[in-house]
Amino acid sequence: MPRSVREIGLLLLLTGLGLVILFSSLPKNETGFFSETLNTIIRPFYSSMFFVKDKVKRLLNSYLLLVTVSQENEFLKKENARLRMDNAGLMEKDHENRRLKNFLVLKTSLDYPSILAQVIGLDASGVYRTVFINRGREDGITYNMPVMVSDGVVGKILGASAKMSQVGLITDPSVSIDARIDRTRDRGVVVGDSNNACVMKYLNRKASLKPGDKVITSGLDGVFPKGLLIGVVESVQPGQQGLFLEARVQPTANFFEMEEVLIILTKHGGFYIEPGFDVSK
Amino acid sequence: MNQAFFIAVAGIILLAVQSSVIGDVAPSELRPDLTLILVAWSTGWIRFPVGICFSFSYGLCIDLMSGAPLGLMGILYLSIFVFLGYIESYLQVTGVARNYISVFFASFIIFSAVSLARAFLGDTDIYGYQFYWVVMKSLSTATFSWLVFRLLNLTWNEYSKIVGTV
Repeated sequence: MPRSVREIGLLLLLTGLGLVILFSSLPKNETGFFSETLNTIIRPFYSSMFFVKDKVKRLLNSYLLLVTVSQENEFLKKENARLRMDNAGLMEKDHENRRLKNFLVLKTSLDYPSILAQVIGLDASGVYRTVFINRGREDGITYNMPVMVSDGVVGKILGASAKMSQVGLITDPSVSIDARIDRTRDRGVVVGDSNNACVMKYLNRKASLKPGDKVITSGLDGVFPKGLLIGVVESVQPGQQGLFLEARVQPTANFFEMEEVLIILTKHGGFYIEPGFDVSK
Repeated sequence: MNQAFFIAVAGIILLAVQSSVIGDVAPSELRPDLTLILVAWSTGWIRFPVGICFSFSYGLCIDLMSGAPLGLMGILYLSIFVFLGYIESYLQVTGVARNYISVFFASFIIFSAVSLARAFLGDTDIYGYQFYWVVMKSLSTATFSWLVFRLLNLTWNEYSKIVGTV
């Protein structure tokens, strides 16, 4: 505990510094010196954690398969073990291949340039719904770029440093998307509700949507291109003031199993480019 | 110096684990805050100036590695270090109960403050499940603290045998 004037002074200095940083910090879309340095320090840890996790997962999978193997004889056991380990490795590769195939289909179906990235970290606080990916400014990533998987929209880039970026998921309340109901064409705004789902707000009271309807991006927010699948309507109820309807939307993207994501490259984070735009030029 | 080095390395490792591997063990609602456990562990043991500098720095790291406004967690971690230090020096609670209770309350205060800050900034409204979520997350962090405290004690004992405690 502070026992001297010096220690109390240090405490007050740090508190003051914290308040100054808090009230004068850069907007989240810009990465300052501290963020850049921390990302540079933490990236190798993230990558090694990812590597170790992957190896442990493969080993565990192999082990779980191995425990059921009958022990006819030593040679067959060893041979069987080797084959099963190979098989587990191949299955892992097969899953990876399927995922990447889905991404390839998605990538070729998009009219816009895109880049694949690996999810390497989760939100450190657990309070916000954000993840970190292994692509950054050097790969052409900037603020507000749309992020998706083959199942649907994931979120958008909140900040990019040289080799890493932060993605805000659509389930975070700070991320909102202009959206439409696919069947009825009713418009609204999809906002995260922190509870691993989204709410579609400001729907016309006369809108005839119902549970099961698909929710897609409208393309009118200048961030997301038109027609990307966001989720499915779960329930519909009147809004808090009664002026609009509100729908609870279950995102189609599975955020818990997400290992890779696709980032749609737009020139400055805004969605005003011509289809076929090449960011490398 | 040795204390500072140990806390710095332990903090970086826990920070990396917290934002990567731990996601496979617990969903984000229940994901324990390992750096907060480190702050609680160091309270009453580490020298005060070193402790507040590290608490503040780890808070800032959490800010930078999450969606929180820069500085928010820095101030909260700093406050928690001071708060737990006072609790420790005045109440003289010791043992496993002390660890569990201090980590639970530290976690409860921090996540309540973040939820309120989010509501204040207009990010979200206050819902009943957020309170439930804050309690569950605090319980999870407090439960995990048992393991992390043991690991930290063990590594610190081994480390201090080699390099000394000062």
